[in-house]
Amino acid sequence: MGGKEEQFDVIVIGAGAGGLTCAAFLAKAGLKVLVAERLPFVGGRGGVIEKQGYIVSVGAGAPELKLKEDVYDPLGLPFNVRVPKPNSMYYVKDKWYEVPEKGKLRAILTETVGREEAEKIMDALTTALTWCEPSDSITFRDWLLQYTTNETALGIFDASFPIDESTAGSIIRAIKQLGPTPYGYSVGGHYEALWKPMVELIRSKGGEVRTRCEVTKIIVEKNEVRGVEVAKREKGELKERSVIRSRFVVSNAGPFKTIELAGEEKFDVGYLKEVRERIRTFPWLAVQVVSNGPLFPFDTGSLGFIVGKRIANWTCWPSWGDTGVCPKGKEISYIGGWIPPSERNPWRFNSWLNMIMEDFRDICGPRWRNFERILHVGFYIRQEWPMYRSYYGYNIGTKTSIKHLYIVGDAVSWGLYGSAMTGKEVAEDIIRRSR
Amino acid sequence: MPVKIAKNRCSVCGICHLVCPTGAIDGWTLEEIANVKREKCIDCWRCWEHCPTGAIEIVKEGA
Repeated sequence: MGGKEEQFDVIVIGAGAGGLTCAAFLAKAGLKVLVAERLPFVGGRGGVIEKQGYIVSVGAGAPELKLKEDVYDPLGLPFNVRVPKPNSMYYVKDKWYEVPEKGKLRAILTETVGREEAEKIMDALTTALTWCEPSDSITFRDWLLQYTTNETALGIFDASFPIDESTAGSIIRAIKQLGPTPYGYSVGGHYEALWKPMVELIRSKGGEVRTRCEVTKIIVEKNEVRGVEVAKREKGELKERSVIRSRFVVSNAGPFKTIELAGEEKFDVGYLKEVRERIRTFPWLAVQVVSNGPLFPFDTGSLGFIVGKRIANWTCWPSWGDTGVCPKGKEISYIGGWIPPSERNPWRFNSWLNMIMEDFRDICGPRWRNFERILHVGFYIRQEWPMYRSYYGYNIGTKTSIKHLYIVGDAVSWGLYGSAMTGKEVAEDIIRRSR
Repeated sequence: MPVKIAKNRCSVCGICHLVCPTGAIDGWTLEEIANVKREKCIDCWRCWEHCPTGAIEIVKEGA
C-alpha cells in the first residue's frame, strides 16, 4: 500500500460490547472510526460461533433489556430481543418461585425465609444503599452474616453475585450503579440481534470494522496517544504491518493488555498500581446443552436463579421464543456457576463439570428426559478472557493516565449492558473534546 | 502440523473445540484439550485464529 499511513479520528481496539458501542456512537456523530478486532468474529465474550446449525454463545447468556433504552434507541437501531415474563424465577429447595420484576429480592426472601428475616436483611441493604457504604475490607458474605445466618438467604444473594469473592462495598456499588437488570434472548443469536446492527451503522457512516486485525502496539509520544501499529493475522503469522494514526484510542482489550500494548513505562505508577490492585477476575463455569424439547418446568423462558445446589447459580434458555439459534425441535439451555477461587489451581475440571450436570438434572426434574447432549463447555479461569473481568462494582475509570487513551468494557463496568455503557460514556467524552 | 496448547495461557473457554471442523479437539478438561488428535487435524488454522488468549501454537513440521 505504498507505505502510506492511514488516519482516523478514533481507533477502537477490540470489538466487544464496549468497543462496538463506542464506535457506533462516534460514527453516528460523524467521526471517522476504525474498530480493529484480532479475532475472526465480533462481539468479544458476547460473540457467537455457528456450529452444525446451532448458534453458540462464547460467553454471555442473555442481554440486559436496559440496552434498548440506553444504547439501541439512542443509536436508532432495532433491538431484536425476546422478553420472558416473568423475567426471572428462583429455584429454592427443589421448588420454582415466580418473582415480580420490581422488588424481586424482597419477594423471594419473604417467600422462602419468612417476613421477619426478610425485613431484617432488606433494612440492612437499604441502609447500606442510602446511608453508609459497607467496607471493602470484608467480603459480601461476611457483611451479610451480621444480619442473617440463614443458608437460603445467603444462597439467594450468591445466585446473583459471587459473594465470597466480592467485597461488601463492591456489591452495594454494583446495585447502586446498575439497579435491577431484567434480561431477554437475542433473536438469531447475539451477532444478529446485537452486533450486526452496530457494525452496519459504523460502516454506513464511513467507519470501518476489521476482523483478524491485531493491534501490536499503541503509539504514545509525550504522554499522549498518537495511533497504533496493526498487522493482519493469517495462518500463524502477523502480516502487512502498518501504522494507523488517530487522535484518540479506545481500548476494549482489557487494562492489562492495554498496558502491555502501550508499554508499562508510559503510564503513571499510581495508575498501574490501581489497575493491578483492583482488577481481579473470578472463575466461572458455563455449560450449554441441546435437548429435544424444553428442560425447565416452566414455559415462560424465565431466567432461573438457583439456590442451594452445589455449583449452579443460574440458568437461561437462549432458544426460548423461537429465537432461531438452533434447528427446529431442538432447544439450547444454559447453566452457569461460580467456582471457589481455591479451585483455580489445581484445577479439577471434570469434577466441576460433573457436579454442575448433576445440578442441572436435579433442577430439570422429569423434563431431563429431553436432554440430548452437551453443546459447549466454557471455563473462565484467567485474567485473559474471563467471564467478567472485574469484581462486581469494583472497577477502574475509563480514562488512563495517558492522554486520549481510554479503557472500555467490563474492567470499567460489568455485563453487556455495563460494558456498552462505558463505550457510550467514552464516545460522549470524545465527541465533546472533538468540537 | 501438530497443534500445541500452552496450558499457562489457556483459559479453557472451549472455543477451539467449537471451531474445529474435524473434532480433533474434543476434550473438556485441560489435559484432554491439550491432547489434540493429530491424525484428525487438517491444518485449517481455525483454532489458532479463534483462540482469544493466544494459547494455540502450531508447530510446523521440520521446524
